[in-house]
Amino acid sequence: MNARHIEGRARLLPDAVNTDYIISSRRKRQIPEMSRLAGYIFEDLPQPLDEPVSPGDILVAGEDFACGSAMEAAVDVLIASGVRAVIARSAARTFHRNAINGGLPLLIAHRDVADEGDILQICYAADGEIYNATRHERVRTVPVPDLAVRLAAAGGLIKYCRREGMPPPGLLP
Amino acid sequence: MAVESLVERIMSRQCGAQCRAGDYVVARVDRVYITDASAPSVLDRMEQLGGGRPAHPDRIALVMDHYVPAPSPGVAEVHRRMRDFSRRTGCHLSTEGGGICHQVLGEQGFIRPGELVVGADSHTVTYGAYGTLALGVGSTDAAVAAVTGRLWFRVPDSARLRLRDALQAGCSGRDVALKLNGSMGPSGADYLCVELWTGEADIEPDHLSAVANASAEWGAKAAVSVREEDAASFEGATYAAEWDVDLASVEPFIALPHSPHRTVPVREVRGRPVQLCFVGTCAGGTLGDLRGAANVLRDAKVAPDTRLLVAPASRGIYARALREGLIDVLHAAGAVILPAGCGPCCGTANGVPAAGETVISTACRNYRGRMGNAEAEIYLASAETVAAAAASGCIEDPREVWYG
Repeated sequence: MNARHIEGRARLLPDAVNTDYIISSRRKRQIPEMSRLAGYIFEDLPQPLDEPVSPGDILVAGEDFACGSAMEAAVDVLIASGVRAVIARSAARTFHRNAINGGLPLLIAHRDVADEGDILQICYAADGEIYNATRHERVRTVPVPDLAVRLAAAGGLIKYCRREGMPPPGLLP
Repeated sequence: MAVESLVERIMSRQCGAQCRAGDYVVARVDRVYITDASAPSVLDRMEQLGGGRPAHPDRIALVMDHYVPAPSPGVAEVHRRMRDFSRRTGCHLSTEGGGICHQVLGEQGFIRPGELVVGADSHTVTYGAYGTLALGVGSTDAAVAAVTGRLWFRVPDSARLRLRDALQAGCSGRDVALKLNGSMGPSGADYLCVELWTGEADIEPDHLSAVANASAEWGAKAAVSVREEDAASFEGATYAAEWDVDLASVEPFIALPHSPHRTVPVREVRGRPVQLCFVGTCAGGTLGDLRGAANVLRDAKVAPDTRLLVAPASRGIYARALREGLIDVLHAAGAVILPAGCGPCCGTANGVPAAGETVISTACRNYRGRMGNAEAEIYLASAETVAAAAASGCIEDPREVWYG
């Protein structure tokens, strides 16, 4: 139920790509429109990307993706760049929350899942799975929280709250 | 039944049900704050939620700190929107020059111990030094919490960081933080609530605040100080990790470019020339930090070819530093005193380094481009070490300068 199927091209990123490398605070201050800000993603990466990120890409990051700032612009700007999903070996909790709230699928897989340019098919569900169509290989991801799958299906937390309202205090099922 | 951890206790109270680590809950949020860096996206989302007038405006604060005073028409417009919103709704407002959200809201009585607070900035965890469960969140979380008074959480596992003994003269909480940055790395406390145990330590609140602040760099969800009178009630609680720090053995530490986790003792990089020195931010702009910098710079001058910027973390700290004569000392040494706020920390206000320059700063992060110029190299250290570098024109162990 609510599973989302995503297909895209793998774009590899190194370990410890912090939020300042996703988008600099200086650019964020200067450019309020996400569509324009998207032109500056990964600008300060010490090793620049060979080719810019383009719509339909799936980012395949290493350890500690998006450590650093809690700014939601790090998620917004990836969505504005047409990034369909992010796969990482590990990711900062602040980014993880923002991705869940923004409806950007983030999957954690503790191993090598793709080479640059591989075609990936993702099943974003509680028992998440990545199919690498180039390698003909299936990889199980760390279970995706049910809440994340539901919020992604709703289009993010804001849309969910507008439609369903925020649940009362208590344990979530 | 297992003993509740501090975070389980607070979360259970806030969601009205017994909850345990790993549970997903909706909890009442006591306070929400946002800054000028997050205000546009938070206020947009609040409008999308139909929350033009929040139910509890007294629980929401807007703080101008990242971009002060406004350096551009666009930022001036953001500040105007914050003023208008506060006037219209009655939300708490801290204007430019008031200081950094993670400092000034405590001084203004907006943040209180024991409460559950979310702030739209990763260093919200700094308030944990005062016993607040303070979590850094994004704009959507802040908007939802502001409008509905509630938010979803995953209750984290807990870890214990036990501090013992007392710091050496010339060392500060920032040295403890930098040392821990190195051993923790970006995920050493991933998704954990780090309980700060200080019953066996003699440590000033400002120094503890620097340690709590750094927990954002370890991937922690929060770092919360355990009150001595509560300590016994956690006897038997289980921890996912435990760390001990003997404060007396901590020496001055420094983070090398371009990562807050690449830390070494200062003595290993002594002699490297620096051009820009900065004392300030939520990591190093407290009264304790200004005292440390002034102690080093008393009767000294900022070295030729070096400049020193100082930004007190709040207006209150600025006032106390004036009364104690610290600003006099720093000013006489040649420092430029900036308004209370984040200063040049993330390249969004004045104080940008030139290409090829070496910076030494008390700030929290030094990722490439952090201060607005990707061609600068940024080192992170304590206020004492930054002041020692300002006085000598190169990286120096403050204990040498101070006592030398």
